[in-house]
Amino acid sequence: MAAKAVRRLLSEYRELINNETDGIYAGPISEDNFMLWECLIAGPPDTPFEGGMYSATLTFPDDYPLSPPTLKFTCDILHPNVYPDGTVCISILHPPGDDPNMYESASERWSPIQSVEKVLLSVMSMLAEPNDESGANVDASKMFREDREQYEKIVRRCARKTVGL
Amino acid sequence: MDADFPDPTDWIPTPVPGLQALETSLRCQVCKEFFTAPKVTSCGHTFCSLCIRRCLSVSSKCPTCMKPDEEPRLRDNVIFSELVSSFTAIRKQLLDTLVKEKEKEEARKQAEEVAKREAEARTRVEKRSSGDRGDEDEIMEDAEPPHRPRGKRRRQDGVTPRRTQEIEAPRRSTRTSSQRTNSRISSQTVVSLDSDDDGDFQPNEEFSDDDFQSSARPKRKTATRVPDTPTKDSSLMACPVCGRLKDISTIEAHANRCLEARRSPSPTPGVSNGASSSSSPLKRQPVSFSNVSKSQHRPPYTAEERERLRLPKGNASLTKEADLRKKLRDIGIRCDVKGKETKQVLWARLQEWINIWNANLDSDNPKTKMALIRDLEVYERNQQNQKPSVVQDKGFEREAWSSSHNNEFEALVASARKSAAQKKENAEEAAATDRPSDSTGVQTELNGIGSPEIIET
Repeated sequence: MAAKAVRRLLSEYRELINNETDGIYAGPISEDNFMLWECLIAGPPDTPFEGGMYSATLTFPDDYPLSPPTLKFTCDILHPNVYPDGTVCISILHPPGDDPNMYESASERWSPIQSVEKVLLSVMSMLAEPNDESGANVDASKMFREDREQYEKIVRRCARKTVGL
Repeated sequence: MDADFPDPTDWIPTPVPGLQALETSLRCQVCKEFFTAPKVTSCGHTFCSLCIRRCLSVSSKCPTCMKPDEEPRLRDNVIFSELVSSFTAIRKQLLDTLVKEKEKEEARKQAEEVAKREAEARTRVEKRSSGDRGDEDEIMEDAEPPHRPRGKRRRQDGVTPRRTQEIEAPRRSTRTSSQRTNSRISSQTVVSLDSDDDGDFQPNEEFSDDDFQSSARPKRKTATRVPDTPTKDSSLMACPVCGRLKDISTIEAHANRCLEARRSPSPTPGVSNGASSSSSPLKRQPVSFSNVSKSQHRPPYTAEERERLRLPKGNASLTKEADLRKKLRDIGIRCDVKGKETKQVLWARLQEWINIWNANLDSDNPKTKMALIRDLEVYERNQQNQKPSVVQDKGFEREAWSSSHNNEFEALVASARKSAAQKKENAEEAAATDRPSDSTGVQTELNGIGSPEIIET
């Protein structure tokens, strides 16, 4: 494992523990592999996602922080910017130069100074404000745009499911 | 985690949580370690030499503000390396002292609390004895210790930390690069500046630590301050012939001059000497010569000076694979003879070597070449794990996982089959009615969410 990446992740992990941010919990799944993290993101309040606890895995490449990690939800979630397999598609997780949807400006892309905390915060705000213009899940974007009521109903149901109701 | 992994959050529980912000700004934002050989970009952000070189070879942008930048524009951030060394020297002592202070404070508080309780008990007894026990509850409330965990305060502190370095730095970089805009005539001043740069790598050679601080620093200042024509960095451009940074408005004339000079037989400053012709212009950063003459002839580098030159990055498409191999072999870096490795791999290896080599020159304690080659090998080994684009947990046992989750997988497969059949049905229906209803779309959508694991089986 890349010693440099591990040191950096260790540092980030310590900061996350000692400097908790509301609604975000993250840490390596096992001490043997620091490159695979599990995280929990609370659904932002005043959105249909409110009350949900969304679990996801963060996978770090060996040249982290030069390349961004990937974030994949492991629970059911319906969101325009989340692929049906759970992979999150937001600009902060895309390295500059690689733009799958030809949409993002370079300034909001991944850069080595970003961190797990910032990524998870961005995901939280992505939950609150979906970007239906560059949808990863076309069906969800379509529903978000055309049938908001239905969308919110499903999202609420998923949110309840995430906490086992 | 362990105490031997120092971290800015160590300061949070101390009586001075603001030190967290201080330490955060003394750390590189890329590796989160204290700066090693700090370099400042032309936009004024500071990073470790190796970190920023690696970042710039991935994308030529400042990681913080995304402004375009290039390696030759990086400048030493001298004050930061001094700050880091003096801070790390006192860090442990400071932390211990503060922790002790905190313990003392807590002990005092506890003592006070006990005293207060006792006092209350006394008053209560007095009151009870006077038969007046109406407001006892009230007293109890007051007696509640004024103890409040100091946790939340530091979040506000944490917001500001990185600014300090940004304020100080831009000035340096403009100063140094504005010098470069001064045409060839002033090359003497440029040279003297760079001589200082070079002296930095091995300060112990000429100065003891104290000497270095007292004599070398002022010298740097006077040397760097000379011509102060304020030129915006963004208007600078490297001359394609000699590699010097020139103002955009004059670059054309300058390049023409350079080309002419190259064509003419007499040796000229840009093209005369030891740098091999295949290397890019960047190699020709001026080196120190105390006896530089106005004639602008530069004597060839001595072996020692050549050792200290920053290597140029070169251009991937202009370098032939054979040259690449030769170059790597000349350096002493492993590369296979049979030509199994692609040019891309070789190129990446050379680039990383250049990063490591140049960063080592910036370092205060340079390593030997052998150590650097080992570093390169370690780095490559780490990168190789990355080959599959999706990194997988090494301890992950596919077999065990699939057997223990067999039921779920089967259920998923079944549901996927069902949903696929349903989808088909829906599609047929839709084709028949020519108008799919929203609700069926939703159904398939939801079914689709659970299905990714199917791939695993």
